Amino acid sequence: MPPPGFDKLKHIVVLMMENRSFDHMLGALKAVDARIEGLTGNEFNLDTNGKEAPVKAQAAFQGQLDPDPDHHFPGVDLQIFDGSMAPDRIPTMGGFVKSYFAERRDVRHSRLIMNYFTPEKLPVLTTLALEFAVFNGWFSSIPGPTLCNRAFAHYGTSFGHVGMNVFYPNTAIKSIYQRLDAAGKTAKIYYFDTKSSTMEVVNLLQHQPQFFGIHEQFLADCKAGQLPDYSFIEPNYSDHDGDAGALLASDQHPDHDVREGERLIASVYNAIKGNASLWESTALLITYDEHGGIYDHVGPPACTPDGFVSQPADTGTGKPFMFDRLGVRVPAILVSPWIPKGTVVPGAGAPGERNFEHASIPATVTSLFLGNYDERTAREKQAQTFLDLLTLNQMRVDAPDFVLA
Amino acid sequence: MAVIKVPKTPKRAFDKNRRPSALLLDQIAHLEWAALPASQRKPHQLPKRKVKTEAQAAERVGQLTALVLEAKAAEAVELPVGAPPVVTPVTLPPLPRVPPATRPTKRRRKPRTKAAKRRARR
Repeated sequence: MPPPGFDKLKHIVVLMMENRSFDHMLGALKAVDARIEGLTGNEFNLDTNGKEAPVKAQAAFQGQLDPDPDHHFPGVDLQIFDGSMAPDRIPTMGGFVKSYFAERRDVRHSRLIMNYFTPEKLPVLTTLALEFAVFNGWFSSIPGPTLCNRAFAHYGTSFGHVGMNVFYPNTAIKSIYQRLDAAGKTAKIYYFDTKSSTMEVVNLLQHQPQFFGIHEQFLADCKAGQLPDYSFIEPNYSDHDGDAGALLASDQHPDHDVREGERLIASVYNAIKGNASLWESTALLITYDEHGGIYDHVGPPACTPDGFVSQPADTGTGKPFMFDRLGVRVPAILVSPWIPKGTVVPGAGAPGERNFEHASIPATVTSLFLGNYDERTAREKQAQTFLDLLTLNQMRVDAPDFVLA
Repeated sequence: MAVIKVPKTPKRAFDKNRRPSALLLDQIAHLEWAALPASQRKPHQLPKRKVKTEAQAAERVGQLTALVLEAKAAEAVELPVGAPPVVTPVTLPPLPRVPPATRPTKRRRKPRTKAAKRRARR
């Protein structure tokens, strides 16, 4: 018999932020809970002068990662393999500083890529990580940029793309929204506002605009208890003027201020928790599309290929990519009152390891709402699902509250 | 039950004159692609426009999102039975002009008076 929390589950909400690695955001939590696969403080890369550049708890909210660190396929390959092209190469995670040096040719500046936040600087993300379930092994789907990684969250594949041009020639694999819709279920992508719009799924916006709403509508839907079965939330991707004044980007993409992303995460959590019946029937996943070129110490593991091949001209490394290896690790936290406080999901290399990636999102949503569904990639079918973490027999009443100043 | 205060992001974090990221430029290219009918698209030649600031990128994204949604709404208008679908050529609107934001000007210090200098020395 499934635990009561799973039985009561009616909604899944996913909030996907931008471009921060696990160690950068949550690495310091190892000092708080040794089970969290964060930083010991001894990790380092060599800079271009051959000197050790250690990790430092000196990440700034804004102003440190400008220019934007490289996170395109060849750049990430350098970060993971430190320039090795040997057939039996192993991910040393030793090329982050060298990769960032290429952006500004400034050795001192390149070492900033090793910086990480202390927990008190990120009260929302770190509190949720310690209160609910934090994944030690949630990886971006591709060692590459935003759009191909976001495609995995929507489709369970990027259709063979490792870059920013994703145009869906293959319509045999439907997005998770189309799958749910065809089965009489409800799904929505809430983008922040029209000026921020949606990222990656413009084809859906073009053909099925009924799947889209704005952030204000998400808040209203939570209040009214009208949240769809599945919701995907996009942050504000730019600083721009709104009707009520200046709107700060909340995606945490460098060089946007990380604090505004914290406020967004808190507001989504509050909106769900603010409606008691929604709180007991919703699982909220907070994750990041990719690491944004920022240091993480865990080597990405191999994975089930998804049947596509990206050619050397597209990878930019001189080698094809078979979609048989994951990208760099990103923060991921599952929130529900049915999850025991302090749950740490073991990741790569640990006993009982479970490695997740963005294909785990459509895999989980499909398994909950549709059951057996065959028209998807082998990669998605093999992806780990995460709802078994709702194990409590009684709902928690000690969940934290966030008060936005 | 813990209550955690989440501070306001300082106003100085807002910079709509920031250079737009490659991500925003790609988003614009994709929306421009979506706004054009299939016959006008060049799949491997995404349109490149000179968007210089984040504010201008946001305006362009808003403009194109509205265009994509309007095109879908127009498509939904019922045609007579048997009538071929009408494909109207689309001309993308020019980039919106966004006046550069003026940064808050620093207050000029008033020249110190002799009396003020004396007080400071005490």
